[in-house]
Amino acid sequence: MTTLKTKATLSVAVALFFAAAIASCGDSSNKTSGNQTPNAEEKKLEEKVNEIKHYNTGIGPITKVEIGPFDAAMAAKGKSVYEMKCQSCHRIEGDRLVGPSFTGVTERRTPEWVMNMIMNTEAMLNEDQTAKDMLEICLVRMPNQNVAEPDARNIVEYFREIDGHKKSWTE
Amino acid sequence: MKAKVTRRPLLIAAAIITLVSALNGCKPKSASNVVEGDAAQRVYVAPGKYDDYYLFASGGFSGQVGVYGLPSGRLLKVVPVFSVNPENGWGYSEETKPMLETSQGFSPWDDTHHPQLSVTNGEQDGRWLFINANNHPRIARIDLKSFKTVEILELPNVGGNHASPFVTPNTEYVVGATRFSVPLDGEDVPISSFKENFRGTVNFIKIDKESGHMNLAFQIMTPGVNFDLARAGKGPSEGWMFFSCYNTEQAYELLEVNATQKDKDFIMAVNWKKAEEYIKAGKGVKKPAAYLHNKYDEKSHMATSELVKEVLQLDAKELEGICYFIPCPKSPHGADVDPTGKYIAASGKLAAVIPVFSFEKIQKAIADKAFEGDFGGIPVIKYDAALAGEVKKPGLGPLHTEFDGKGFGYTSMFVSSEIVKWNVETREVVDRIPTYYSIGHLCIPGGDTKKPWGQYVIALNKITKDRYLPTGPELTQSAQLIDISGDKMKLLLDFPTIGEPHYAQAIKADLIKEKQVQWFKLEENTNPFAAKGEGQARVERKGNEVHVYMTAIRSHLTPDNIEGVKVGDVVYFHVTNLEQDFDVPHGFAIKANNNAEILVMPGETQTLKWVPKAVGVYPFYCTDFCSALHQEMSGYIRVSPAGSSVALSFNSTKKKE
Ligand SMILES: [Cu+2]
Repeated sequence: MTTLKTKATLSVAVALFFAAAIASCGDSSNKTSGNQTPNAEEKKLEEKVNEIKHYNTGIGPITKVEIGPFDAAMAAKGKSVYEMKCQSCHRIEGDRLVGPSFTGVTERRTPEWVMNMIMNTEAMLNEDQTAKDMLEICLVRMPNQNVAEPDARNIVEYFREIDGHKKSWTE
Repeated sequence: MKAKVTRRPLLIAAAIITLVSALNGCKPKSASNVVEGDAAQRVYVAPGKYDDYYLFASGGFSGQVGVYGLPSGRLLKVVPVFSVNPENGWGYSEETKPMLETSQGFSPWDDTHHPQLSVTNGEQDGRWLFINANNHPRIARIDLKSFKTVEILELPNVGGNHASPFVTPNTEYVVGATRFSVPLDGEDVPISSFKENFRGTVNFIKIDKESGHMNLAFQIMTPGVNFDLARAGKGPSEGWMFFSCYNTEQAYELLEVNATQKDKDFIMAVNWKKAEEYIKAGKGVKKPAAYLHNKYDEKSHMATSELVKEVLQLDAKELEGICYFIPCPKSPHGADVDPTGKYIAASGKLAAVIPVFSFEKIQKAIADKAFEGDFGGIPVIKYDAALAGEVKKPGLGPLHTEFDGKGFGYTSMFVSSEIVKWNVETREVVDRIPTYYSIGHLCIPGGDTKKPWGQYVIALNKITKDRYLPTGPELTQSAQLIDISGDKMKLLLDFPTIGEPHYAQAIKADLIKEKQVQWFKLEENTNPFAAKGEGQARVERKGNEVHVYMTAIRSHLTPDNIEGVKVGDVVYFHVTNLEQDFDVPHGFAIKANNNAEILVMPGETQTLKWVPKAVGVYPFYCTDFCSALHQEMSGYIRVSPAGSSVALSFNSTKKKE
């Protein structure tokens, strides 16, 4: 999180506020107690956090994924990694197996969240609310399959293929 | 013969009296007053903290290697080497069975004695650990990245591979020498023809610098004596190897009496650089032999066994300058070279002194031909011509010496149960400490190298007696940790060990812990039976063989329902662990198995052979508790009668709708 190299200002802001949010809830001594009115600055921060909730990048090394035109070669690589390391727990279609199925994943999650979940599994299961909620349903902690960043990115491309989104992450 | 037999009770009586008085003499006043006040703090490793050293102790008659942390003495792992290990399938899985093959068939057990860490420039490098099989002569190599036994080489024309394995300063060679002289393999001769037909052999195994692979480079043929231990020269004595020999009487019956007649046996000095020169000059003789070379591939996770049919021999008595004998009192055990490489301390088990030989004087004696004669055609250097000096009255039964790098030697005393510290230059005894009881080898981390760590000495004891809660007639074996950082040795800790902790070596943890393999990469798994992904899980029939390509991941096995197997079939479960994370092995066990379980590391494939004998439905399951749904990690295989028409089928993972 401290080594941000992204160009998009929005994502920098998002990441910074997110980092701040994590820091504040990680440190109990700084917590605002219930009967105190949060000051203006804190209120502003809270609003910002709410504002970006729809764009949850998750927790981990990935702060911004550039989504360009669909790359079939990357998707093919992603598919083979999926078959080796993910398929035993995640189906493409239908219901949850051990973990959720991947159909429609591009509508439920950001590409950053997907890559962080793959690459930073332990921390995500401990700290990311969406991941924590999923764990309550699945009850099996997702293993870290030690997928390197390029392969995690290839999986993102494979997910675009599954969902038929050749223009962008959501289209 | 008769005279010898009648003398024996007397000797035994004498020995018993000596031993009893020795044991009485060294009994502690009480267990509580032998340790200093801060001993507990010195060995306490707080929860979540790591030990400073790895200690690799031979498992003795367990055939394995025990890995302990120091200073805590906690057992970290048992590395299976020469004995089968049902706990993880070593020697039971199809992949590991070839590791325990010998030229005379499958060997499920052996006896390990001397672990030896690899060295570079005479200092520990943390790459490999070598260890000998004492019974059926072999040397194993353990990869310290994975703590797996990856290679086992059998030695031809050897009986009891005791003087083994010891490395040269850059691990160019590992040596192994015969404990029992024997005729050449396959020779049928009377035992009474010992002097004519029995030989000693000293084997030099070349180690590949990169891969660590072992190859028997040459074998030096010597007169029939028993070799016990060895150490390589270093610094000024680099290029030489020193072996202790006993039974220079060449006795072959009642050795207890007949092999202890002479006042002096020998240290044999071997000039291995000279041996290399002779080989270059074509003086080696290729002789037919038959010995196995077993290798475990960490990519395919499979072992192969290759028969080698030739050995290159050098005859010590024909080729001048390879071997010299140095007289040494009496039945020597250790032949230990100090960190400077200038001195060789020899410990005669039955001797009253510790002779310390000077490498420089040995060289001068050879140049001056200061020989007292020959033994089996090999020159015997005059004792005084080789001697630097003796440690006088060190104690009873000196066995083995290691060094602290600060100018002191530490010698274990078997009969008087103590460690004696002495000055290498002056040969004066400066300290002694009792051990409990009957210490064999001792170990100073790096104590055989150019750079000992000099913080601890570990006593490796033969008898445990009253040190722990009794557990019937058999007590745990025992080691003791002694602080040597100050002038006075201080006992810190007793800790139990597996098998006999015959000898041990220790190394700074930093040299090993950062290089650990945490999982094997699935992408690199070349096992032909691997299922790299659940989509590859399947069942195939080949005649009466049924091959199950199974995957394991938290928390299911695929396939988990198999039908169409019949009585008379042989089933192979090829289990691939799809996990790619640290510390997540899965196990596989099945009812009515006459074999063992297999424990499959992340990314690895291991195969269990199963021969069902009766019709029925048999459950199988994961044995290594892996997750909240571990209990659900199971399945069934249906076995139908021979000739049944049930078709072969299996499920791919399905969720109950
Ligand atoms: Cu399991």
